[in-house]
Amino acid sequence: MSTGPLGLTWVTQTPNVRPRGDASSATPPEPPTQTPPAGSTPPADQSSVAGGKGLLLEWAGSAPAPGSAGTPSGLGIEWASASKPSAPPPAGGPLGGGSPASKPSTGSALGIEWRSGASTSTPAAPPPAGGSPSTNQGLGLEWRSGSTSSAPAGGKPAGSTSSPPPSGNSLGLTWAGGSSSVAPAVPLDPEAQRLAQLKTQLTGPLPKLPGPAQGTSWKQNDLINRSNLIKGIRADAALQSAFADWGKLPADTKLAAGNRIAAMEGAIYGFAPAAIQIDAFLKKPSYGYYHPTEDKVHVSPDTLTNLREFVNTVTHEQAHAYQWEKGVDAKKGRMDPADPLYDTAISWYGNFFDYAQPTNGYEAYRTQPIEAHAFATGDSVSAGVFA
Amino acid sequence: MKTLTFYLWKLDASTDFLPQLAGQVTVEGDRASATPSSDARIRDLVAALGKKPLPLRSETMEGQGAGMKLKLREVELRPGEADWGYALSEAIGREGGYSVTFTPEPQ
Repeated sequence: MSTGPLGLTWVTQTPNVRPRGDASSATPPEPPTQTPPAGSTPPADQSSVAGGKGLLLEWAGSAPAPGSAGTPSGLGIEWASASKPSAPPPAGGPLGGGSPASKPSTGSALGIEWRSGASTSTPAAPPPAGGSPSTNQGLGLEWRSGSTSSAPAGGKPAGSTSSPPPSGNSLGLTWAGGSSSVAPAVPLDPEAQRLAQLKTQLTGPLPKLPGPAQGTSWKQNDLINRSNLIKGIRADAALQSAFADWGKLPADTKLAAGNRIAAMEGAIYGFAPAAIQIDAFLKKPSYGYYHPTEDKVHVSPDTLTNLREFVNTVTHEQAHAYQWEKGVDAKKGRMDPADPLYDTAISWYGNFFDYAQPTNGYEAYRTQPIEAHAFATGDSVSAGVFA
Repeated sequence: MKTLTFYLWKLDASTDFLPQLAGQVTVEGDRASATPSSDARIRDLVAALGKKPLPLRSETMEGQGAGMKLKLREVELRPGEADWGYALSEAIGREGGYSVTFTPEPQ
């Protein structure tokens, strides 16, 4: 993992990016905000999410006592339905090593949350000591029992109708029990579900895109590549969904959008895009930087705020990654001197070693080869995408 | 007094997102003017932004070549200050959705 100027970096995922350097750094872990601390309580009416997978094991039991209808599963879980009304597990219940009348058998290293609903109008008591919700150990399994009343059980909405039992799943967990009068559990918070779906789309495969233009003029090729990138972004359903809701998206989803744009730019121009990272310690007036040794683009959280600026910054910085890769290719003999890009790539390479700093005159800075090209790329793509 | 001229290009579906010249702006000191043939939107933006302090982003290179870091920074410039014309070009490009060049050709 790379670090920012302060040696601290907030790393989020980098999907669809083909790093040139260390492959192991290509898929940094999720930001810490994505994973609740071990033992934390997930929001009511929301499935526990651990390790990127949400699994809701729910019991709306009414008839047999827990333990009376064991259903062995592939994970060593025995399911038991419950009697009516269901009661919270006694102290030291399923997770606490106690002995409820008929406790569910876990038989595996799985964190199981037990929430039961009472038959009265009061919410179910929280799990007893030692039986607190647990989402650690890889899988967060949530056990909720229902009640005959309309009281929320573990946060369930009152007065709603019973939900159908889930069908079998790949983990071999089986639904047992159920009651027509039991308040249903909400499978997933719709907003969380929508965000998860969007992120899956953003990190999914790219649509079919044209490769680098093959004309005899590098400038003309560049204009065609740019046009294709604009059209690709405009036509991409995942990106358009993200753009439509930009202000409400969490940072990691925005970053997934940025990495998708970078991946599209790489596919169309024919280079390996640099992975984008959020550097939480970059503050105004600094917005980000490209680091060819790391092969990373670091952006500040401020950069994520304005969508148009974000698209501009991402494509501008990726243009530098493109210039560097092509410059090195040309310099190291990996590019045919007859390639229409060859002379430009050589000039880009030289420019990286003879960079005109803006403090020594903005005009020289702004019009030097690598900046003129990067500005044209970022400005044009953002202009075209939002035209 | 130094004069800066910049060109604004629009990209839309009508030209398959290839740049098409939309206007030309000249800045001299704290005065900015668009050519009469420029898009009305550009003339409006010159009128709206032409007297304001504006931000200007630039990258500073630390190190060189493979060891470099290109750091993006932003400063605010007042009309008449050195490089304010560049800030105006950025602002018009950003607000109007144009790409900017400093030659009459797209880069």
